[in-house]
Amino acid sequence: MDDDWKRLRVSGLCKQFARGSVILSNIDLTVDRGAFMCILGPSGSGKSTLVDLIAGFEQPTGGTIAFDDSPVRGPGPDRVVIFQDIGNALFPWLTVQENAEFGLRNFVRNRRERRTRALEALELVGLDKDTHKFPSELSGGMKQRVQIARGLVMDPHVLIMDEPFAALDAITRRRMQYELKDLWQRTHKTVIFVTHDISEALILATDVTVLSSGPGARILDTFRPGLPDERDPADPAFIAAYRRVEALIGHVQDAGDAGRGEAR
Amino acid sequence: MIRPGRFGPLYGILLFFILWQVAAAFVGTPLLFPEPMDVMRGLAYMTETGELFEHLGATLQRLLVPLAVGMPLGAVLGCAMGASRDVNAWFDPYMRMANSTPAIALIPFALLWFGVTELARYSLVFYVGVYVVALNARGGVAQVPRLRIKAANTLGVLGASAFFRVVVPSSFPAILAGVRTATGLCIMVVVAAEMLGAASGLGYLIIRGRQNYDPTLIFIGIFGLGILSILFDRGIAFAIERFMPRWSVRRRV
Repeated sequence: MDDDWKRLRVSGLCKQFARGSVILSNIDLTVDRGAFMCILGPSGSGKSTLVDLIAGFEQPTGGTIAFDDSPVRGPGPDRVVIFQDIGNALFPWLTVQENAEFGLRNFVRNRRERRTRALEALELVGLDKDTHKFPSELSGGMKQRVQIARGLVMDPHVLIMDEPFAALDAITRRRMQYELKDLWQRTHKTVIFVTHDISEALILATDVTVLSSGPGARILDTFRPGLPDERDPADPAFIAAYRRVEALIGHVQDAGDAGRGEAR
Repeated sequence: MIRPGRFGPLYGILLFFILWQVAAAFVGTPLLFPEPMDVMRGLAYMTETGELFEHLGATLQRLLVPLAVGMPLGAVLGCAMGASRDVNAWFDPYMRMANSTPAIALIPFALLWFGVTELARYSLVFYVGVYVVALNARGGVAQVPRLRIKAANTLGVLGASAFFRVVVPSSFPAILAGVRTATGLCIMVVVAAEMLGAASGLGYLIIRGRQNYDPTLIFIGIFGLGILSILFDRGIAFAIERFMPRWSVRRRV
């Protein structure tokens, strides 16, 4: 894989399942290298399907996904997914260290190199003291940190995060958001972050894409919130951005209902 | 949870012996119902002569040898069935048949084919070990969370590599459960086989006790089997804890 890519481009992406239900219709999306793209959408808007397509778990019915001009095929460590389900995403028989090394086993021969690389990633998420623990001994927030480290180890082009904090309690979730933001500012890894939480998106994103509610979800708007690095939910600019997204989603729900009525 | 007292199950055991003594005294015919002390005396005698260990060892060997071969084979077969529709289609009918036929019903057949030999008993235990572990392994493979496989795939671990590094270890708890079920079932089968044709083993001891009107022998045989079962169960639990701490119950999520 070419290492100096400039953008991930999703164009004209459609997904229709065999029974005929259209999940996504004509999705266009450009994620610049180093961006933090939040994809916002209500439940059932096909966010997870979009993740599955970009990650390569599913094949699109139409359209392409490409790093610059080289299309992606199938799942691979250049697009690592961080999953929401904290209970099943980690390998429970492996220690934190072994979980972090998991992907490297197939790519890096040298055992010592695997160790140091995993340790570096664990250090980034603040888990270098818990390397010998098993997932069952970790809290939800720690489990997600292991998952993030396990992904970062692969040095992916894009880190795809599928509602990674949705299963955490509110306080841990907020802390993880700021930690992730800090991590992104240090590494400038490209992130695609899927969520249904507007304030979460506005705290994290450099770019926001809003999806309509499904079926047949499409993109309503893509914009840069243009907020300062230190995000404050009480900042008037933050509130304005929040309102903008809310208006979009609210407005579309009506239009979506009307559209559905016509289509079927 | 019930909290064990300071002496654990000791009181219960003591009560059992007292009730037994009372009941035996009440029945009053040692030919039908021996007193606990008679059984203890018999047990001590057989321990002294070493006869007890001979029979215990014979039964143990008839379990361990064929299980040591059969259970790994069953694990491999079950994993293959879980992984491949074709392999599953080939073996599934046999598995269903095996699972719905009491293994004890096959004993006369085994004796007919192999005669009253070790081979007859080995083959029965082997057969039970294979199909029970295979069924559990197949179930384990089928129940691996899809997400775990996706997690491996996104890290670039695909296909066969994902199967051996994620699916097989994920089904390990199910395979271990199969091992426990199989040993339990095999104890039953091997005792029945010993009763129908053998010159050693705990099952043989019980039958000899009945034929010679020596109920202490029957009781010794029964106790021996109880101890054997406990040893097996504890032994497996201990082995998992000691040699496979990753799969100990404590670690499971």
